[in-house]
Amino acid sequence: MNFYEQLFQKKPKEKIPVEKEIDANLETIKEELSFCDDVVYREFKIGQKQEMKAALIYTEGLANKTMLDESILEDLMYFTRMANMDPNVLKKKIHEAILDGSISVANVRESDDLDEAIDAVLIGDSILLFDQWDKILIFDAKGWPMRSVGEPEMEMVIRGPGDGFNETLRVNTALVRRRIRDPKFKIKQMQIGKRSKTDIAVLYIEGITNKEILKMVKERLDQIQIDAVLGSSYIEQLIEDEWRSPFPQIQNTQRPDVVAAALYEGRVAIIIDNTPYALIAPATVATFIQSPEDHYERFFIASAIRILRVLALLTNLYLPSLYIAITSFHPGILPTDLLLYIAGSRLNVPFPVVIEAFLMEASLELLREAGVRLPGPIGATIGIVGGLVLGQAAVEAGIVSPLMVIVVALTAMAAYSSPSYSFAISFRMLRFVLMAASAFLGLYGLILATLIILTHLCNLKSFGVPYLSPLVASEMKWQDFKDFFIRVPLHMMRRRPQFLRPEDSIRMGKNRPNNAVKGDDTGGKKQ
Amino acid sequence: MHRKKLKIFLWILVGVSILTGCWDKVEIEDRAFIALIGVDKFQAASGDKQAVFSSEGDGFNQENRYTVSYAYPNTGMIAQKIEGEPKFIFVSTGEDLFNIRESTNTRLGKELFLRHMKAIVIGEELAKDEQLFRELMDRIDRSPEIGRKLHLMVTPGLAKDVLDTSTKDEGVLGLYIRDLMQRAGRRARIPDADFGYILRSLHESQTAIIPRVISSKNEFKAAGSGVIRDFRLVGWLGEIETEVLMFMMDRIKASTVDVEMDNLILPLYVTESKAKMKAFEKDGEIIVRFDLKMEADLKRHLFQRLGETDESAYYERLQKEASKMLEHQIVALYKKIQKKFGADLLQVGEYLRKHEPDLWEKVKNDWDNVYRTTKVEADVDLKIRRLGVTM
Repeated sequence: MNFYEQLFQKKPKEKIPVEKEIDANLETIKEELSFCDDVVYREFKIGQKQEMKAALIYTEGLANKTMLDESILEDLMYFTRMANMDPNVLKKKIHEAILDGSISVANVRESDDLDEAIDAVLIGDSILLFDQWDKILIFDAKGWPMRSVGEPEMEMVIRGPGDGFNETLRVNTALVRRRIRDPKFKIKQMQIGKRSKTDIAVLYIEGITNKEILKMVKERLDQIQIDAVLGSSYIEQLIEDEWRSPFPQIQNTQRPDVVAAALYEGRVAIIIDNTPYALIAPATVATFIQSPEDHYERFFIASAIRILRVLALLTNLYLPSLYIAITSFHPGILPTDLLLYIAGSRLNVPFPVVIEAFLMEASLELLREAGVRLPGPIGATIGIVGGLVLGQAAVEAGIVSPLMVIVVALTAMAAYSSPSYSFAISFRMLRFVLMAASAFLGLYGLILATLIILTHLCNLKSFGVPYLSPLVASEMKWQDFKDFFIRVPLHMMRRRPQFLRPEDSIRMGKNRPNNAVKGDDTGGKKQ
Repeated sequence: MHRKKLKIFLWILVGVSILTGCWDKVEIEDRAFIALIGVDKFQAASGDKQAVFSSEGDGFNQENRYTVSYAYPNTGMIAQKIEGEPKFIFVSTGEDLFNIRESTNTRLGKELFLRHMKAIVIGEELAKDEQLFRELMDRIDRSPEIGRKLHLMVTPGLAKDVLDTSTKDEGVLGLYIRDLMQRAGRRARIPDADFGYILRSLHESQTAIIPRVISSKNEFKAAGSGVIRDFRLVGWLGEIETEVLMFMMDRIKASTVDVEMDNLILPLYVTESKAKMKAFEKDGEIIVRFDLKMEADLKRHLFQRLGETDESAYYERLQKEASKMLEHQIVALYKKIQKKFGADLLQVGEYLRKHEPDLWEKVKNDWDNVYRTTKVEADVDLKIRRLGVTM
């Protein structure tokens, strides 16, 4: 058994054997699924003289009824009647006849386990039972209402694919498979949740992904003992390294292209049924400042925008606390003209800067929360009322200084420019901590709090990979800086990120294609 | 064990964070950002030397020695929040500069903040008093609040009057002085001398020049300079003298020189100036030599100039004339500083100490007298580069 087989081997499970008599089987199933009124039992008879009992069981709403009607019931009930066949032969060869000749469904399998059959019904498969036969046919005729593949709402890009994940696992894996046609790209499925039995697919590329990381992901998934998994964040919270940390250690995305890119880098993706968010591990700080668009645009502009994004992140974290520290403790470090203006604009404001900052930041968070909860058009109204009217009125009434409004607005803008929502909200929370620190101790407190945060970040790991890679000493490789604060041209990024320890680290040939036109010695000038 | 360690760590953290920070949190609007300070020698109005604000019944009377005026801008007006006076001035008297600052703090609703101070103006009387001037310099030098980019200025008359000047286009006088001094490199009617230079020069040769500021009721002018020797004001240099001095000290890049030739006054705008000072011994005398290389633009001549057949010869002559004039000015100024003030403003002694140590060994004990016997030579090489648009 090789590494992968060992890793994904199935644990033996208890079976409920299938009886020969159809009535006995039906009874067992009905007992298991008693009071489940969405399960439909369709008993019928087949054969020229209708001498053979059969039953079709499916869950209403999860099964594709058209397919059942056209491909199964019609074939079995109508066409078998016309087949001129000896009933005894038919009886003996029934399953070959049906499996090989009668049922026009692509995905059919046999099972001798009633428990498996019941699970299949609840997943959306349909099962077929025959009298005098100790096997059950399970066929895939799923069909439930689902969202179509549409543009993801969270991670919009201008130039890039417009498809996003939806709530159906199979669709999601297909979207990724369309981008990776390598047979080495593996999708291993498992079920988590004692009651919810949620399908979870682990995606990786054999030969790129580091085995240790894959093993860690699988082992942590195996250890989960929970009754239900209702979203990707359930899994995220249960398998992340440090639950006390404010920083997300697993990336989540709605975009199949992001998942594909991560897999090519040597990461592991986890797709969970019933949620449009895929998880990507391990995650580092770099993954949260990158946007898929960085790799779709020219490298100049992509690098510039990424630097802007890093600045926005720092603004989000530091601006209000810096404002507090400087105005309350260290007015000496401002340019005189700006200082006099700030001092003048704060004249007669009844609150100290700290209170003012907390008030404004808190009302901004309130505004955001209200905007998220309300439906679209009303949400916009709240934004206008809260942001414009309240802000303007507060300044005119002299309760807050106009500069504070600018600081808060800038901070909010910086917060929402982050490509990763979960990363931005952790910074937003830390912002309040820093504000408190600088309110107590000025810049000194700000630096103190920053050091504590940095110490934590240096300690943090995501699936064994240091969170600050490649900024930490153990992972400091110059190649990895090519896609960190800036993005170098594509042909220079020959290697996959080294801190992920990929098994195959080269992803590109050495030379860029020579695109210069030969024999053109006019230097572009027209004759 | 682990828990105990954590506890100790937490206590250290709490201790460090609470005990270290200066508890100096003052809201920005509660500070008075002093932009300009004027320091005068106390002059009693009618002979009494009692403190103006000396508390009644205080048995220990203080002798007033200083009058300090603080000016700070009305920030509300800068932010267009309120109308009113563009600046506030507080005048305090007292025995000692530090005491005055402290007592002013008790009179003001705001906390004095000196880190943004742009200039200190010293009254003439105080500058002439060695004791008070040295006290003042030490107080400024010692204070961590006051930066070296400060402009120390001296005014004939009272410093308080300078502060009272109401300037038309600029409300904050300190900022006005700062902007004025920033342009000093372009037209050197005021010396390019900030507090850092003055301190250094005083340490090295006990002499320095201080920019001069003159004020009338609502006019204000920074031009010329005061000469400090042995920690007191000994005299003034005029505007043109200051300019020539700046050329000699190689502290300016551009300025205007007026040359008179053929009954015409021709303004030359100097765009480049490099000065080198040398001092050496020759026939038992110390000779100080200035070599100046300058480039200038001709800014004006006569409209429709006629009758000049050989232009290049004319400009040759003009160059020579201008050089000669500057040479004259340099020699005359050197002699004035040397003879009238006896101040080694150009730091010839410092030059000798650094470059001619043997010679310096001989003269250093009697440098004050030797300096008065030094001879001066000047060689100016001025080239006219651009003439402007001509026919």
